[in-house]
Amino acid sequence: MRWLGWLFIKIFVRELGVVGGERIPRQGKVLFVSNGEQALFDYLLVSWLAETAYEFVTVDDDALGMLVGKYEQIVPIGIHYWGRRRLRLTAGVRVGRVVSGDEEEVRRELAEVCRLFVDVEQFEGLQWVATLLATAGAAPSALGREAYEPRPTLQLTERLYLGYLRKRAAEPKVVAEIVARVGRYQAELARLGIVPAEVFLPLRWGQAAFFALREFELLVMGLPWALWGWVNHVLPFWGTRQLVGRREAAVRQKSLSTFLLVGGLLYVIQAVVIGFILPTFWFVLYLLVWPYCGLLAILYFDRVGSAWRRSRTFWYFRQNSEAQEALMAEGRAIIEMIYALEE
Amino acid sequence: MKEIKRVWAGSWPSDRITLGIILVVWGTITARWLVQPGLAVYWGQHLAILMVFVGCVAALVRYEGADWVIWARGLLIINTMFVLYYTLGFVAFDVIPWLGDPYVLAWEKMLFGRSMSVWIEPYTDSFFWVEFFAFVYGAFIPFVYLSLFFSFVGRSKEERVVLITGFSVLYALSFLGYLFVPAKGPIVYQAGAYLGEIEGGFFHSLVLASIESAGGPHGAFPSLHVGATFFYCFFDLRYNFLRGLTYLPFGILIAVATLVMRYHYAIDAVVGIILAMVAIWAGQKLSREVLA
Repeated sequence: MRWLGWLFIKIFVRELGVVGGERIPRQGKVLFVSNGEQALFDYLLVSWLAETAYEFVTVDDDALGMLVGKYEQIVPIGIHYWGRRRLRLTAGVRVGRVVSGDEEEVRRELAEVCRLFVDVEQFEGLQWVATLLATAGAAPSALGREAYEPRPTLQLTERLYLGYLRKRAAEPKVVAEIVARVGRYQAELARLGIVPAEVFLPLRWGQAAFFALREFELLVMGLPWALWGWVNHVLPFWGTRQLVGRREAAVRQKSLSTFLLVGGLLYVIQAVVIGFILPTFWFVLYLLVWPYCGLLAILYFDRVGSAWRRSRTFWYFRQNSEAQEALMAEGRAIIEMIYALEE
Repeated sequence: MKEIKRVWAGSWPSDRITLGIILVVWGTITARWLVQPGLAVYWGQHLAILMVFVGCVAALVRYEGADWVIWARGLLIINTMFVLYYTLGFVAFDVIPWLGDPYVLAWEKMLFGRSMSVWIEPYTDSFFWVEFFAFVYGAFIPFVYLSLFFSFVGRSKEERVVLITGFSVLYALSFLGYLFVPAKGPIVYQAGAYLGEIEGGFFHSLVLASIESAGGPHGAFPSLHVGATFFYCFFDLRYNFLRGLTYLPFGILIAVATLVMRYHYAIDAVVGIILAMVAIWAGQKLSREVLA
């Protein structure tokens, strides 16, 4: 299952943050207990993170009580997803300490692990600030690397949150001043449609030419596959979205299982229709290429968006170099101020 | 002696692997020259390649740490391998006293039960398919150069080291096949088994011209067309996922194109893919020494 987890992360996870990964045992059998926001996604992430033989169960599963007694190494693992309205998610994983006690202890530890997710969620701006801190005031990395380079954003968000709570009590005026300054900066970048990392985009023509060539090659070569993927997935995807979108929030929360059920049915109908039209060889080829192109289309259109955004930022800064300098200076000043406050 | 030890200690795994394959080629020519006259030109050529390569590696070791060294090393390894690719096309058939085709065909029949290149002929025997696969076959050249360019420029040191090391492993292992199993491919060895000649248009004539300019069909086992394509795909799947995913179907089409164009047996493609996997794995393993 590890390769499936790897594939899942590559395709569907835009950004992955792991806190406490060093706690995952490297020997012996392990029981992972997740909070089960999206059980299937949780399982795929765990299959990627697991270093040894394991079993997986969500905290809501009836089998939890029975399984807890069988294992000496139980790892509570909190997984939270951001950006669920988009196809590619941001996933945060917090690994709890290994326990070997009863079910109550597992639940307590899991609740502790997940507490920060719940708390941090209330401070949406913190994540944005963490992405600014993660840039360290340096040039952004090449496009398409986000998924395989575990990003420090989650750790930074947690540090920010804990620091924020501490400082808010001790120095409320200073904290309020920083919050206001960050808010103004965030609003300005939002107005310009620029993400924090790209504030520090180098404006060298050589680098820009290389970027254009690399993205052009990729986007031209990938276009036929991506279009094929889009055309062949748009109907089940759109149909599922329409059906799921009309349901109440509690059902939408578990949208994955609904998607699999409704989407699966629509896929079967489409396959049957195509099966009647195409000869056997071409139908088998179609079935093989179908999921491949669909997955490729997800990454492709995501990349088109990123490339477009970066190009637009480049042009804006080329024509307004003073604006970039001002934004870079302000960004670095905020980063320094936050770290100074922590010290 | 002390200087040699210093250069050896400072060399990278890719240098040693490339040196190893040059020595194997040169050593084989030397051994054959003892019993077969007329190999002086090959012997001299490869001695020259050996000396130039050792001299360049000594210079690279001396200036280790400078920014340009990684670029120079990449150029050195890639160029040396490309030169060897060319010379082996002649050396293998003049130096090795046996032909590899019967063995390769026997392995092919053992694995697939038939010659796949002959089997596929009736399905692709049309102007459209010949032109399509000739285009795919020819597209390999720009793909390789673009991949090399994108794998080197704008990359981290780690990625460049893995690429050079894996590249040297892939080519060195393939050259062992070229040298000791010298095969011309089904287009020559099974010429009488096909229903007719391949008839294509512009792209087909382009492929024919480029093969002729490289000295005619040679180096069938293993297929570096397939091996190199999959090597870059596997490399990109790790370091530039979308590009790897985009070109993976191209790798499969290349494998089919080698059969349709009759330049390779199916077993060549299978071994090419296996070598690409080995090269990526070895590239990562061996480059740890340099990166450490």
